[in-house]
Amino acid sequence: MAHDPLDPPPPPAPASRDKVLVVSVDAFPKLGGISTMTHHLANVFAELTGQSLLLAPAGSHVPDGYERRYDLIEDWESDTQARAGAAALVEDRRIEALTARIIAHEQPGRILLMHGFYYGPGVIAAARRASVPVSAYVHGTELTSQMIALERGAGAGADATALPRRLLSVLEQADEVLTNSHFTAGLVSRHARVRHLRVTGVGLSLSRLGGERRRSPWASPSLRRDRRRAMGLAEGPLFAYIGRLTDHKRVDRMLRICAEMQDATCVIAGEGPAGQALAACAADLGISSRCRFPGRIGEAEKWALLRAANFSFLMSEFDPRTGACEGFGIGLLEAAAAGALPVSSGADGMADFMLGPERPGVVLPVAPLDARASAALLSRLLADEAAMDGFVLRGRRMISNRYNWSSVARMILSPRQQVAPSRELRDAG
Amino acid sequence: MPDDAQAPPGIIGRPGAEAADLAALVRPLRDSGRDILVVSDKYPPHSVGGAEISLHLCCSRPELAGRVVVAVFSPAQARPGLYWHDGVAVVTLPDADPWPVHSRPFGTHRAISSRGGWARVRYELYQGAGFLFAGGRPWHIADRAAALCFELWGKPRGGIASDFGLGARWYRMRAIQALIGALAPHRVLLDNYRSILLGSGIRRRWPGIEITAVVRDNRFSCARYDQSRQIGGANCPRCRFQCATVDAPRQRFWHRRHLGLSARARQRALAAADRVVVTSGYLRREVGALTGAAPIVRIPNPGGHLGQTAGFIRGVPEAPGENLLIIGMLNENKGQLAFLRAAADWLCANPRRHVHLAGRGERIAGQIRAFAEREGLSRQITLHGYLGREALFRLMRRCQVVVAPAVWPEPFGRVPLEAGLARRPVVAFACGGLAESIDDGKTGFLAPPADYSTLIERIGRLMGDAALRHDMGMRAYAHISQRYDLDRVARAFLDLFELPAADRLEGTARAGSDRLPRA
Repeated sequence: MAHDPLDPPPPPAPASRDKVLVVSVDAFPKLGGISTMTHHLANVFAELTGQSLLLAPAGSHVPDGYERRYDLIEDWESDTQARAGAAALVEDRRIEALTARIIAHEQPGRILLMHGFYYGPGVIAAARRASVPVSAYVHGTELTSQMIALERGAGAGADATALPRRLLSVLEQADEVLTNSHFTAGLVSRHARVRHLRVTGVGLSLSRLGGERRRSPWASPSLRRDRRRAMGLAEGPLFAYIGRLTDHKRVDRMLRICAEMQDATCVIAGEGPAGQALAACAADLGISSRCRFPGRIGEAEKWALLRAANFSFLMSEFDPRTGACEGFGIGLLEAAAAGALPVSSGADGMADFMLGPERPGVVLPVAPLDARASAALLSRLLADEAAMDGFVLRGRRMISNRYNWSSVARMILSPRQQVAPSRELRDAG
Repeated sequence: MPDDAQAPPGIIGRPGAEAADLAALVRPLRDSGRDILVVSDKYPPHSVGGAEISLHLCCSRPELAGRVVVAVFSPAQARPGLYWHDGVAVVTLPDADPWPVHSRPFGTHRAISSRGGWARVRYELYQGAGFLFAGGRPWHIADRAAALCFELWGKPRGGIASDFGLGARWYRMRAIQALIGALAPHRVLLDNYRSILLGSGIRRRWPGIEITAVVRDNRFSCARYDQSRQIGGANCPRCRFQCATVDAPRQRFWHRRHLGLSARARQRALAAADRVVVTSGYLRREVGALTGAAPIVRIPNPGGHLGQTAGFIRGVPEAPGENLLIIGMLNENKGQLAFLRAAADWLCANPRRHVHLAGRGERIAGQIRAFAEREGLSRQITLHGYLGREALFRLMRRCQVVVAPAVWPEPFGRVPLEAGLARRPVVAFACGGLAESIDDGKTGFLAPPADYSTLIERIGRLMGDAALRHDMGMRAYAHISQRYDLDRVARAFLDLFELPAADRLEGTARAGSDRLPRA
C-alpha cells in the first residue's frame, strides 16, 4: 500500500546495516544533479553501513576534487543508448546477468536505482530472483517528459519496449519509489501504481555547508561586494542564475526584475537552447551591458559566483509542452549554503524548501510577475541586513537539519527513522 | 579431464628395455601421419598457463591437429600414457628422479633407499660409480666428484649447478629418444629450458631432424640459480660467474666451475636447435648473443582468453582509496620488499594507501610482515598469498594501479598483459621484457631501473588522476588484446611449423617482420 507522502514522519527505528548497491546511468565524470546526488549518497551509505557499491556505465570515474568512499563498479560493456526497443531487451538480459553476478559476489541488502532508465528493468529482474529489495528514485522531469510523450502517442500504445512504458514498469515493479519532493511524489501517484512511495528530499554535503559558513558567516553584503570587485564585476547588487538555459527555467523573469533595479547586474551561467533568446531578451530590456553570459562554469567558479551574489534565482515553471519541471531545485540549497538569498517562484518541487514555515528565501508571485514590485522588494531586503541574515540563517539551518546527504541517506536506509543530528551534523554547525 | 582417452595398459616402465611397448602406444599416431613432436613441461587441461594455452591453440588447429604429438613428463606417472585434448594427442612420459639419481624414473631412488641393508649400499655404489664415470674427459670425473661432495656435505646457495652432469643417462633423455625412435617425427619443438636441454641428445641421434627451441627465461644467459643476472641487487658486469663467490664462498672454485660447465651445456643444447623462438625482444638480444647467426623468431606470450578474463572481472568493484597491487612470487628479483622499503614514507603519508601483494614466497612474506610491523604499516599492507586466475583478476580490478617493481630483467613479464586485460595501468622499472609490453605514458609508466622516487611519483600521479588512470586502463586493454592476441600468437607458431625446410631461414625472417607483433 502506498504511503501518503504528506503524512508526518513515522517514529524512529535503527538505521539499516545493509550494504547498498546504488545503480545509476548518470554518474561521474558526467557532472549533473543526478550524478552528484548519486556520488554523495553512495559516500554516505559507505559511512553508515561500512560499504556501498555504485554500478555505473562505461567510463565512470570520480573526477579530481571529489573523494570516493564507495566501491565503484564500472560497467564497461554498457550501451546506454539501448534504452528502448528490441536493443533494450538484449541489454536488459546483459544487465540482469551482470546484476545477478554482483549480487552473488557482493550480497547487497538493498538496491537503490537512481534512475529508472536503462538499468531499471534488468536490475529489477535480477533483484527479484535474489529477493533483494529495490528502491527506485524519481527526480521529476524524466517522468513528466515520458508521460507527455505517452499521452501524445510517441512510443505509446501497447509497446512494452517503448521508453515511457519501461519507466512505468520499473516504478510499478520496484519495492518502493523514492522522490525528491512532494511535487514529484504527486506525479508518481498520478501516473503509476507503486507499492510504496516516500519523499526523501535531496541535499548538500555537510562539509560543503561548513565550508561556506566559514567563508560567509552571514549575508555579508560588504564581503560580497569585495568579491565582486575581485571578480571584475560591478559593485552593485548581483543576481545569479546557474543551470541549464531552457525555457521552463524562466530566466527571463530574473532579467525583467534586474531591468527594474538600476544598479543591479546579472550573471547567467550555463548553456542550453534558450541561451540566444535570453541574450535577446536582455538586449530588448536594455540591460545587455549589465548581463554576463559566461557559459558553462566549473564547480569552483559556481561557488565563487554564489559567494559574490546577493540573490540566486530559480523562477522555473512547469512546461506542458515538454514536461520539463523543477523536481526539487537543488540550486536553491546551494545558494542558501553560500549565503546568497534564494529567489524562487516556489513552483513544483521547489515548494518543499521555499514554502515551508522556515522561509529560507524569497518567493515571488509570478502570475503575473510584477517585476517592478519584485525589484522593490529585493531592494528593501538589501537595505535590511538583519532580514538578509535571517534568511541565510534559516536556509542553512534547513540544510543542517534536513536537506543534506547524510539525512537523505538515513531516510532511505531506514524508512522509520527520523533524522537525528550526527557528529558530522554537529561539526557542520 | 575432458575428452581424455585412457592409455592402454602394459606400456614400458623403463625406456630402452620396453621401447617396444612405447612403440605400440604411438604406432597409430605415427601411421596417421603425425610428424611433429612438441615437448613441453606442461599441457592443458592439467595446466592453463598462457604459454601452454598458446601452444595448444596452435596444435589444435585443424591444419595441425592431425600432424602433432605432444609429449610431457609427469612425476605422477609410472608408465607412459596417452590422452587426447581437443583432438591433440598428448603422450605422457614418466619423469626422471632428480639429479644426481636422474638416470632412473621418478620415485625409484626413494623406493630403493627405503629398503636399507646391502641392497641399498649396492645401489648407492652402483649409482655413484655410474655418475662419476659417465663419460667425457678424465678431469670431468673431478667435476662430478665435487658435485657429489656438494650434494652430500653442503650445497651452494640455490643448489648445485648440475646441468653439465645430466648426460646421456638422464632418464628424460632416454625416454624422449625412445619416443622419437618410435614416432619418427620430422620436426621437434622443445618448449622452455628443461625441454631444450634434451636438444643435444636428440641432435646426436637424429642429425636430420628439425629442432625448434622456445626460450622463455634467462637461464641460457645466466646460470645462477635465480637467473637474475644480478649480485646483491646490482646488475652483473660481463659474466665470469662472480656469483659463485657469493653463493658458495668457501667452495667458490668448484661452484664457479660447475656454473661454467652448466652454462656451456645449456648453450650446446640451444645450439642443437635449427631455430630459436623467444618471447621478447630482450630475450632476442640476449639469446642472439649466444646463438650467433642462428635464426631467432620473437613470438610473445599471449595475453589470455579475452572472454574468460572478461568473465573474471565483470561486475567487480574498484575499492575506494589508493590500492596498488604487486603480482608475482615474493623474491628479491621481483623486488617487493625493496619497493616497500622505498615506499614506506609515501604509504605513511596517507592511511588510505594500501599495498596488496599476490604471490607465494614465505621467506620474503615473513620479512614483509616484520617490516610492516616495525614501520606501523600492518594495516596498509596485505599479503594475499597465491591466488588462482579468477581471484587474481578480481583483485586487479579491486585495485587502482598494478605495480611491477622487479629489479631484475624479466625475460618476458606477464604482469602488464594481465593487468591490461583487467583494464589497469602498470607502473614498472624499464628493464627486461617489462619495458616492451608497457607503452610508457600510454598504457602505464616506466621508471628508470632502481629509481624508486620516480616510480613512486608515477604511482602517485596515477592515483591522483582517475581520468588518466581510466584512459590508460582502456588503452592498455586495447594494446594487449590486439598485440598479444591468442590467435595471433597461435598463428605465428602455425606459420613456423609450416615453413618448408628449404625456406626456413628466409621464411623465419619474414615471419619475424610481418606476421608477429613488433618488439
